[in-house]
Amino acid sequence: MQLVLAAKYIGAGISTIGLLGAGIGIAIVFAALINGVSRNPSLRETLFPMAILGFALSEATGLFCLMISFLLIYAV
Amino acid sequence: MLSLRSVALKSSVRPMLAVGARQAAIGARFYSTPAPQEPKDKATSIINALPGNSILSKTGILATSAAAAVYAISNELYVVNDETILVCTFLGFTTLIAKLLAPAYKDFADSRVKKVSEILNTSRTKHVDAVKERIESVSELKNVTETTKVLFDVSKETVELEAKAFELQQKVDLATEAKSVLDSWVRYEASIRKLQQRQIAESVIAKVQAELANPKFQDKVLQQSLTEVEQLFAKAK
Amino acid sequence: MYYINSPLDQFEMNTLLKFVTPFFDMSNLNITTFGLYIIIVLMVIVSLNILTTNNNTIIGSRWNLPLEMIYDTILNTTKGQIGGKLWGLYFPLIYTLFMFILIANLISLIPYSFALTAQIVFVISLSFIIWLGSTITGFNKHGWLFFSLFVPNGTPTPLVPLLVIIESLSYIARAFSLGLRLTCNILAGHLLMVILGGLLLNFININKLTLILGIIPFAMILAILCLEFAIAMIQSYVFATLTASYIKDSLYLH
Repeated sequence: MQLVLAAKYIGAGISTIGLLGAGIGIAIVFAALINGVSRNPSLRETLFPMAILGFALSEATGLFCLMISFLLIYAV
Repeated sequence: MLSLRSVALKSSVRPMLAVGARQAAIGARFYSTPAPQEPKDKATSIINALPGNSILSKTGILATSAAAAVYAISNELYVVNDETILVCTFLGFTTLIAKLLAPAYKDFADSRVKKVSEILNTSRTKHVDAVKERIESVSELKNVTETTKVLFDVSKETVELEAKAFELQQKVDLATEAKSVLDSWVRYEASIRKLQQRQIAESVIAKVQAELANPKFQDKVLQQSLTEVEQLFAKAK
Repeated sequence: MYYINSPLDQFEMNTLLKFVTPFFDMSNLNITTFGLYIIIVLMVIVSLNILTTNNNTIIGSRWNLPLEMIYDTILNTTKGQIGGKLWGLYFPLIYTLFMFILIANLISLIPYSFALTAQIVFVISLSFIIWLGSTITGFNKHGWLFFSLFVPNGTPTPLVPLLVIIESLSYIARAFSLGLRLTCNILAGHLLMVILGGLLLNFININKLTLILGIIPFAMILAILCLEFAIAMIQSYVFATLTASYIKDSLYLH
């Protein structure tokens, strides 16, 4: 039983590795936003919603990992 | 939400910067010269922040709330757990919003409301001016009925005059027509008379010439002339 | 006595008002925590819209400005996403979804309250209904031509079978990913807050030094709370935007 518990915690910990990709994705989105805005500041109003959409989409993938880890800890 | 966010960002940047600068200045002053009155000011500022009018009511609020908290926690009416921390953070967040964001938002909203109401007021005054102008332009025409009556009379008169003139014109025309007809008649008669006279003269001349050609007549004329000459001679003697 | 044992306990529902009837099963009408919070959200939205009109004068009060901004933003988003002639038909749906999710998210951030949008069943059924409705709209409008959505323009012929499989998988996954995104964000945020609160409480309880030092993690939790407020707004905006883009896909096919 202790082994199962340990495996559960290890699995929960490992599943958070997926947040790495989400972090890289968010960084790329905002780097691209800064790049675009610094090249053409007048496009700020049109680029910002797109960046927010991209941020949310890439953040959600990381949160799926986080949800798996929560499920492993509390629900399994 | 985008505009809301951008507004929040715009409005929050400046006060935050201002607060940071002020804190740094206070810190520098604190390090350089110790301020003896600082704790008292702090305490009075905390007391002033409480609701109520007099010192008594403020201390009363403070004491009763502290007593209520102690009573609730000791009797396990309220259990301190994880959510308590979240309540504290939420209170901190609301005070943060109320201190930083709310005044900036209030300024923005007031300026916005003022702008809109100014637009509405200017359009209203414009409309009132336009209506007044129209009323003035209409009031210039207020004795229009009399003018039209006069105009109607004038036009009536002119029509009558025109009718008379037309009548006279007709009369004149008739007269000239009659005159021309009569003239032509006169001319015709004159020409006819002339023709007849000429014919008579011609016939007389022809007759005279025919008479002259007659030898008897010639003799007679000769005889007559001889006698006349003799008479003349006799007279002369 | 109310103890929180697990961080997931905050998402549990209690029955507040029960209908017990001898002949019919009326348990569907039970008022649970969920129903209570739905009613609260409705009340908040209605009162926001009624109380801010400044007694029906032309210019609303200061509280009316955010509502106007939200209306304007959602209008522009819908116009930009759907476009064409039909965007006006779908604007009320998207505005309603946005307002509901926004108010539910913001209310759930108040301590001791209940997170409506962290209920996976509710949100995923909502997103599934939206997906199903947009799919039915697409079939109704285009018939069998609707399947051209699964073949992107200018695909080389050998790649078509593979792309059709991938596109249809991603299309089906939309039904769940739309809701799961919102739910996961809210769930993760609330769990994170509660876990950090528990950790901070343990840290504070050690001795008096840690009670004073606890201000630093307290400030961190405050920052995370600010982030949670931002996420609450962003996620409702994203939900509305993605709904609009899914409707656009089924209306105009690419």
